[in-house]
Amino acid sequence: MSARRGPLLAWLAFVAACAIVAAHARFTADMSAFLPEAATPAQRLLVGELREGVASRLLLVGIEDAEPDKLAALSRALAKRLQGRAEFVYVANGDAALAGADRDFLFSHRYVLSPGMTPGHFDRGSLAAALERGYEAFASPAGALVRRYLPADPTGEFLRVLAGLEGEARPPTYLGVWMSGDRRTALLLLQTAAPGFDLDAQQANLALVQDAFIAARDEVGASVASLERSGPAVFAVRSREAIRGDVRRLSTIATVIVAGMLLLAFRSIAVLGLAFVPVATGAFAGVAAVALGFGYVHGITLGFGVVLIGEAIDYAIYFYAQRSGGEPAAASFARIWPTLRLGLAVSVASYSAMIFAGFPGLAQLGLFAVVGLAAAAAVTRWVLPGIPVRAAAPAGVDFVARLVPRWRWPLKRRLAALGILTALCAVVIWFERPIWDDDLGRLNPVGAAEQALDKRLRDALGAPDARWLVVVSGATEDAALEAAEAVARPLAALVEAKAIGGYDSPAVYLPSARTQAARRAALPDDATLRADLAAAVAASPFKPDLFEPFARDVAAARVAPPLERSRLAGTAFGLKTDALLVRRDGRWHALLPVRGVADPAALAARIAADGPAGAAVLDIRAESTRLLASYRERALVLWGVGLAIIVALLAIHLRSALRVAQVLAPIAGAVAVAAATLLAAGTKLTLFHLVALLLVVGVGSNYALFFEREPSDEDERRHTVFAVAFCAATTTLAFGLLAWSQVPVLKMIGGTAAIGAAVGLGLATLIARGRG
Amino acid sequence: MRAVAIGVVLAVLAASPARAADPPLALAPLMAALAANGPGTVRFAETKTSVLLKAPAESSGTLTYAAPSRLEKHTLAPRDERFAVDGDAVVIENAARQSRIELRLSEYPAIRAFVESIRGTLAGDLAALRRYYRVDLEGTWSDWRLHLLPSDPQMAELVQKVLIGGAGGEVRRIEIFEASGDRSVMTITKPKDRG
Repeated sequence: MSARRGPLLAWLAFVAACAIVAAHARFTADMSAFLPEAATPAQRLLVGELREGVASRLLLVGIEDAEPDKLAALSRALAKRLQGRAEFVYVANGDAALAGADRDFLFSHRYVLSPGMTPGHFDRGSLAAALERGYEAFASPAGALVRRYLPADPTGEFLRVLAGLEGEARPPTYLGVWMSGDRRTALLLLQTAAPGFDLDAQQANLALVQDAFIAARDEVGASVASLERSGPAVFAVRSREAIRGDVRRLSTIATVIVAGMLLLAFRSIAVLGLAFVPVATGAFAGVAAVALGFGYVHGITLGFGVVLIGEAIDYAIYFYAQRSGGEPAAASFARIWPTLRLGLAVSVASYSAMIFAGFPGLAQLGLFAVVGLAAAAAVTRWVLPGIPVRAAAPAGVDFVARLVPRWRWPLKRRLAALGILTALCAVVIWFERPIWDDDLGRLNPVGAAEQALDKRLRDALGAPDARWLVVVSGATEDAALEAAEAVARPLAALVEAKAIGGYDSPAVYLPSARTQAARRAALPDDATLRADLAAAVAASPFKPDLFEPFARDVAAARVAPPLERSRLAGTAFGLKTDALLVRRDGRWHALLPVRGVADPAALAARIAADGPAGAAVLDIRAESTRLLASYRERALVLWGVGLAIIVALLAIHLRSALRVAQVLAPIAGAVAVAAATLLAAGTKLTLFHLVALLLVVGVGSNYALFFEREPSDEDERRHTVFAVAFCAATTTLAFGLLAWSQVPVLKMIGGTAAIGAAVGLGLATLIARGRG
Repeated sequence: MRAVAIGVVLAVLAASPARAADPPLALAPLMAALAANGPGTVRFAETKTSVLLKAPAESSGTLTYAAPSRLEKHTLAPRDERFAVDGDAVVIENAARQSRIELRLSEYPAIRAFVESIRGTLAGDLAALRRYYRVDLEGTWSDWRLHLLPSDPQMAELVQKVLIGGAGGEVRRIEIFEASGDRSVMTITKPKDRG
């Protein structure tokens, strides 16, 4: 085996191995991997809910652009087609026929659900009073409301249970189905079986709804009616589509431009092809490493990861651009490898901060970039030189070298100028405080129009975003329910005091075993009940024997098994309970959404004083902001550590404080200018800007390191200038294109990196050696 | 002779304007006559017969209508109860119990079934009536009966028929036949003697 073939074969074997791992890797599109890992239990609960909670599985559907009557018919037809499908756990459009299941559930369990079931509720005196009330209600104009239920429920327990739900905001109905107040939008609410993060399943669900709608439209004959869908899954699917589309379109353009520039400069198809070999190998290695390390690869990791290791294209360019005519490959490498290696080490130090940053998605991205860059550098070092290409000197070296300014000032004065520029930018940054945007919603790559649609549908459905939650926990489901019942008492007092508008609790639909037993204990035995009932009926205007169904139902309720969660399946209450009674980290949590919070302090104080131990009031908006801020603080600390490693690396390698300053100054300047520019333009910084600034550090360090190197002669100097300028131009172009994306995330990364790369090149020229 | 002649003339004078104003009984002119009534309050007495009750339940009070969509049934005896509909909003108040229920008409077909019949008739709004009922008219101008059969299956489950009787532009009697076999008869009189 020759020395030339060895690395080539090793490379082929490596790529093959990576390909096998990559082929078996599980790719996911779980957007929530980009949600932070949570530190506190409350945050874990929050993130868990965002990831897979019932809210993430809700699909809001609106039907518009037709006469109200047609809209109602469409709503019915669509609901009929979606009902009973395995993909949807719950389909609701307000239709009484659909609500029948809910009604039946409440009615058949009225004696364990009704808060009125206290001892003595069914004794002779109470029954007589109940019949008198029942007669009044029956004889009243609203008699039709009680007529149907009176014989089986003379004490009105069912209506009492219903009244407990009345306070909830419900959408108005028209012709029996939910319709907005202006009768322009028929509304449906769907719950998918798949969790919100399973984007492939959600995409299929959206298509299913669309197909069902088209079929319903044909059936009803309303050809112009339109369908609107919203919800977390819709956002996720749409943003994935948008990111995919933009990445594909813009990266194709970028690739064509970079390839054109390579062709123009090197006039060699072989060089063009080989220039992409390190980056392609790096991508393979990155995917394999992430698959091995995490067990799955996120689609976004792949997309952004390839962007991050785009720096690897530079490696090949440095190599080919520095080869002057006829020089052996080994000699070229002897010159550039130490610099390239140091640049790689700086990038790796910078990206490895992401591995520990706390977002599983960013951790993947960090690992991908580190492994990918290392593999790409290794390929550049050991494989590329073994592949013989006609080593033409690149065209345009002299032209480019003349274009790049050569500064006549002494180095120290140039460093001082860089320091002043960085300081000026720091002042700008200081005045633009606060510089961070911690709104979780901003990370959501969804346009304003879609957010507006979501708000419109939510408002129409009377399902505004829950902001305030009271959370209680227990070791078991039942313990959590008991805690929910305990915390309901201070909440009811707060409603009374008008400090809050109302609240919801899973214990309303699923009382704890203890409460169920207490309510059941209020049911008298058959003989006692019949005797008391007969006496009460005799004194009432009602016919004897009318209440036989009542006696029968009470007897049945006395021996009925306890109401269990499984009985709620397929009703609106099952949906609610799924959302409000959850298991996380081995404990059960009951979530009580509180609406109309007029006095947050009173709420917190009252719950702390009178609530069960461990009851917490959660402001979701504040909590998610806090979550992001704490994540960002951690990330900054880690990047500080990364920076210290970079300085240490440079110090070890360069052995001179001045030289370290010489390399760091333009990098710091580029980061500062990019950040100051964004802030001055009115953009607050997000995590994605930080990722892009990491990239600026990565490429900027290469520029600085190459310029800082003492060239052996003028020819080498010119080749170095050409190589760096060429790399900076391709990077700026590629990321500049991303800045045209409609997707906020891509726009942020693209704009920041393009500014940083261009400025990085300009500032790096300031520290260039070899003043001729 | 003279007396007879005067009598005849008077009779003709008395009868002919009435005849001239009496169009043949048809839905369109009847509805127009009802619509011409404008807002007003009438007295009602209601008898409700039910298979649930030992004896019929009697009640009385006032019925107020204001175009286009306000209807209030204020029961004064035996209990003070107010049942007010405005558009889709329903308010039921019981003065003695100080209770107040608010609900949406469109969500309660049992209530809507009779509210729309009374409201639609008092408004003379044939289109509104036909939205919920099959409408049949019989009788004469001075004694007509409007048969309203719910066309909405949800309403038909609860209300079999609403029968409204009247004379000219006046509603005199509202009978509701419930699917359960219960029946209520409401007779309507004007509080003051106006035309």
